[in-house]
Amino acid sequence: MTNLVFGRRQAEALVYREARLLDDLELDEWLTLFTDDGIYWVPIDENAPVDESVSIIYDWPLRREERVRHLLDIPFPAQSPRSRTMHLVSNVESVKQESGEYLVRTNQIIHEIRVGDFSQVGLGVVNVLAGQVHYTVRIVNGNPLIAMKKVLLLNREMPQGNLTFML
Amino acid sequence: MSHHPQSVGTARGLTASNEFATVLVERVGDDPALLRISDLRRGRSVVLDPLELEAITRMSRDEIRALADPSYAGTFGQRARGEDFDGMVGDDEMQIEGISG
Amino acid sequence: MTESNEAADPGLVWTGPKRFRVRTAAYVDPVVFAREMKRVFESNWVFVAHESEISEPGNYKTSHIGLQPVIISRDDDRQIHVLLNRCVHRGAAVCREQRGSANLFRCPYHGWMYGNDGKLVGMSLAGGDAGYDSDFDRPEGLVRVPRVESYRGMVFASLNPDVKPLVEYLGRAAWIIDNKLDASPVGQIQLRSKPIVARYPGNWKFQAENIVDGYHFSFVHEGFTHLQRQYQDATGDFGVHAGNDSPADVRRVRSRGRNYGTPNGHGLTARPVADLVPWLEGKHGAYYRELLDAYGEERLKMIAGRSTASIFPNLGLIHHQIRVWRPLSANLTEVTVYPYDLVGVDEEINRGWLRSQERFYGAAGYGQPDDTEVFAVNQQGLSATAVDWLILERGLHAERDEGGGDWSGQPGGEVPQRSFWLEWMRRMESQEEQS
Repeated sequence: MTNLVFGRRQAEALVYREARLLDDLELDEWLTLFTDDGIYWVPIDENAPVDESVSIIYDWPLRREERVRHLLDIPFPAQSPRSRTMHLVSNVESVKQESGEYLVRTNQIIHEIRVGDFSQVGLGVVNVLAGQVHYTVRIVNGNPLIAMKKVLLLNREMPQGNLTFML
Repeated sequence: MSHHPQSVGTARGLTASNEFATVLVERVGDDPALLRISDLRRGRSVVLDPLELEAITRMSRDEIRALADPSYAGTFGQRARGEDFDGMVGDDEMQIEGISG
Repeated sequence: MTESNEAADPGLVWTGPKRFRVRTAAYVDPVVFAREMKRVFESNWVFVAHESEISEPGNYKTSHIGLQPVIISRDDDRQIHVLLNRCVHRGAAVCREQRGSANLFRCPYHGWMYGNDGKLVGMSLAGGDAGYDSDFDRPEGLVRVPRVESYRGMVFASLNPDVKPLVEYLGRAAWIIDNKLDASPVGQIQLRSKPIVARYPGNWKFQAENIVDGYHFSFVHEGFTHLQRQYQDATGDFGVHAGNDSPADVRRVRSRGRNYGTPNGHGLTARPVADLVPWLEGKHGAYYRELLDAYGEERLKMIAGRSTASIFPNLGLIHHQIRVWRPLSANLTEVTVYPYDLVGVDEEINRGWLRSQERFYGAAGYGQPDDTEVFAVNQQGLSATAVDWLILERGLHAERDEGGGDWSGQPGGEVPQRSFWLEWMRRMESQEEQS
């Protein structure tokens, strides 16, 4: 077992890197940030049992891979033209859990815009999403990996627009 | 099915809450007989004994409605009837105090 | 296209031999929108809730009839009330939460109190010279939506007291509701999850048309079909789109069965299963054998197949979800997808459906965001108002009379859409008040 301390500085390095990979669409590399059983979860109702409640995203590993393949390899109307995104990460805290994993809490603001003919409905408008993003980080062979990324959008149970980009 | 949290336990007692009111029900000290019901929005409370509480169980929904009827219960003060209202804080006084919207 | 022949203005919907076209204004004109709120929504049956959303006395939820906000509540006697969400005193909204439990409602403005049956319990501070006179014309309570009827737990309400009975209004659409709900061996569904809610910058009728549109699938959802070929059922558990793993399969599945039009504007698709063996002997064979015992072979072919409905004007049924579309303006619409549980089946089956529908219909999913994107693209396209007409003539030459005013066509044709528009036109253009 390693003695690696995963404090705020180390947590920032991880989440800043993640933000960069998401914004640059380096999504195959993004997949490697997760543990083998890592979950990517964007709940609508974070307090309801996940089996009984529909989420915005509930991706187990194969679904995370599918999301990346869908976004990178397959043209579809909701991303034609594509989104540009910018993730701003702030208020980073890292707290060790009894399990030995770390809970990294962050606040994030995501700006998103779809380019193309900006005179048209839905294009050329900057959309803003804000939320808490919580990471459960597990140290595997000395490497900090994400066992759970949970995105708690401020407007999670409200009407949503097009969220077919990386949150 | 409801997604609204209807009641939560607290260190002091049990809170019942919806979008219209929030009340706290708690014991009065160690007394096994008495329950205090407090209106947490307006700060009033009443202590009821088992016989009084039992009486409520015998009430019909219409009788409870009559009990809840705000017509003659001073929302801002004591229970009052009819002409007693002239003595209550009115718009003019509230405007003077600068609290009327 | 322009009208060269001025003999008669065809109005908003142009019908005739080999002719079915809809005018651009029907989707974009605010005057048309205001008229359809009155003629299509406020004079008609509108879906407002499922009974399981307010299963206990005291439960309530808010909803809408067109632009009219309403409260749906269940009283002590389990009776359901649909009430306008507006204090009769000075107009404040009474309920500000989307759902909750209350026997009494209190207006936040001056404290007028109502029972959850809508009856006025009392006006606050009623007495004295500043209060109400002894002969004050006291309102009964919250204004009541005059007609409320349920079909198998689906609650409909109407602001028009003279609407025909709900079952008569539903007609053949009730058969589709039966096909959906009988996927539960006890014939019941339960809304347990919070819904998926989306808004799109387009007209509400795009959603009403599209839910029964087989034609768009191979184009708008080509990417999903591709994904499905790659991942099969591994990422959606099973079921939602099983069988759609190649473009040829999509066409095959979508050309089976019939599309139906009805006299009250509902558009329906019913595609029975040809062979029950893969279902009865598949992964969830025990479940399908239970349905076989409950309903028999012919019914099971319909239940296990695909039944989809666009129930005029605001309710959709597809897969295991209730879908409601709510017009906000001529170019803004809210869509709510309620995934439901089938009562009396394995948790695994409900969980599978939930995850599968999330994958396709979620805001970050692989299906519905493409539909709503295309609705926005449609609205954008229709800003070219110099073009008069949209064309809805697929399969017009091959329609078949089904009796009782119903008719049918091949899936992939536009019978359901024409059914919608014919009723829409009757309501919009009739001189008399509708029922």
